[in-house]
Amino acid sequence: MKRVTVGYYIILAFVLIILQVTILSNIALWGVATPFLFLYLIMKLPVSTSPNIVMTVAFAMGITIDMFFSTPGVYALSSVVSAFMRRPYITLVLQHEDDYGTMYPSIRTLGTAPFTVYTLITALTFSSVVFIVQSFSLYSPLHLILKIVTSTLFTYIMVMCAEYILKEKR
Amino acid sequence: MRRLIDFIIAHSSILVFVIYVTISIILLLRFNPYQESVFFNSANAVIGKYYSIINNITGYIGLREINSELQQSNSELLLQLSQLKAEFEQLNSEKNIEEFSKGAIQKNKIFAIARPVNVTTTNAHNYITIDKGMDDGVKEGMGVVNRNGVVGIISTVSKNYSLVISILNPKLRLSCKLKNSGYFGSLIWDGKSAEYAILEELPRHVEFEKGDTIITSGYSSVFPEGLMIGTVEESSRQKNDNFNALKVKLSTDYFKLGDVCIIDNIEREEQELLNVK
Repeated sequence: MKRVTVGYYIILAFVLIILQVTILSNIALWGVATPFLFLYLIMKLPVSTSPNIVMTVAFAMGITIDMFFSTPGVYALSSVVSAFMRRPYITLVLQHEDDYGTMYPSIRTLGTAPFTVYTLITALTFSSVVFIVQSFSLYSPLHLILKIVTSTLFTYIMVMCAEYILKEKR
Repeated sequence: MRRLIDFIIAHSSILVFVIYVTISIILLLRFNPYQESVFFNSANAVIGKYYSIINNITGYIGLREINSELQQSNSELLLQLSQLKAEFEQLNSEKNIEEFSKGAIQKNKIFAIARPVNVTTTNAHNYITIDKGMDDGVKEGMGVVNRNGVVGIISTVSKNYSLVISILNPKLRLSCKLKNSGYFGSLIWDGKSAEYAILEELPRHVEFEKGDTIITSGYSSVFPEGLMIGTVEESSRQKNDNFNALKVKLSTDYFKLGDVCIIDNIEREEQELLNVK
């Protein structure tokens, strides 16, 4: 497997942020489902990356997106929480722990089913925090749950698309 | 001491996590659009510029509908003008009315025409960024309307851009009334659909019908009386027995906003000073 460089991640981060703020965050399918594709970068960092670096990257991306939407703290908090939970989630889905050090998470290295679980729980974590934080002032539990579930699924679909598109190029 | 350092290194990720979460929460709680510097929001110069570029590209989408809407509202206005002219002629015999209407017109004036460079509709708290700022004389607390009705209130101003709290933001409460009966309530967004808002605190005995017009009450210093807000869609949830809540279909379409007008009430400072007292 080819080594993925830091440059690749920087370009990916840039593209994902632009996509997120220009198009994706303005989508609300049926008024509820919003895809959070920028999580893809946090998910794809090599397994061996120190949690501190993952959280720093997540915080930086989150705060950048927050600046675009005038919502300081919302995305930052949610992505840091997702980044913090990354290590436990990977441990949860990882089947053979011997190549723990060198690999980075993808459908090929984890297998389709574990990668699906990994994507879904990461997206669920993020959507939950985002919508719970946002709903402090407007409380409507059913609407909240609907938003979290549909956004998680939408994010999952987008991540899978990204996974297939980027797999071919490498 | 050494064990303490070892402990910190071993658990550094938790420490880093706590630090980031604390920063986020501080940002989250401190953010009050009336006070915050423009750095962390989209009125910031770099992001404002970015949105301008994107808007130059996407601004052409929907021009046809905006144009037809403009023509429609133009013709309606012409109609109103002719009606008003007739009424004015009729009333002109009573001299007082002339002075009265002059005063009312001068109180509020259209201050500037601005173009929205970013409009959000899907967040829980929605803001609009417009391309007029401090250099154009825009100040916090001015009202923003477009051809269809009220859009929002200016909250933060940077050099060239301003941030508008739209009606689609629970931080904004707007005093409104039913045009027919004159009973007033306060309009707030429930965070669900960008097409509807809720008119709360309306006395229970007030009668209304679907399609009744809701206008600004003029009790706040931001908007003059009589600006269009929307129409009654249905009776909505009731908070308690004494008050009614109406679901209001907003007349402003946030999905195709078009150019907006910033309006300034020249007696605003005087009114606000009075309220503080």
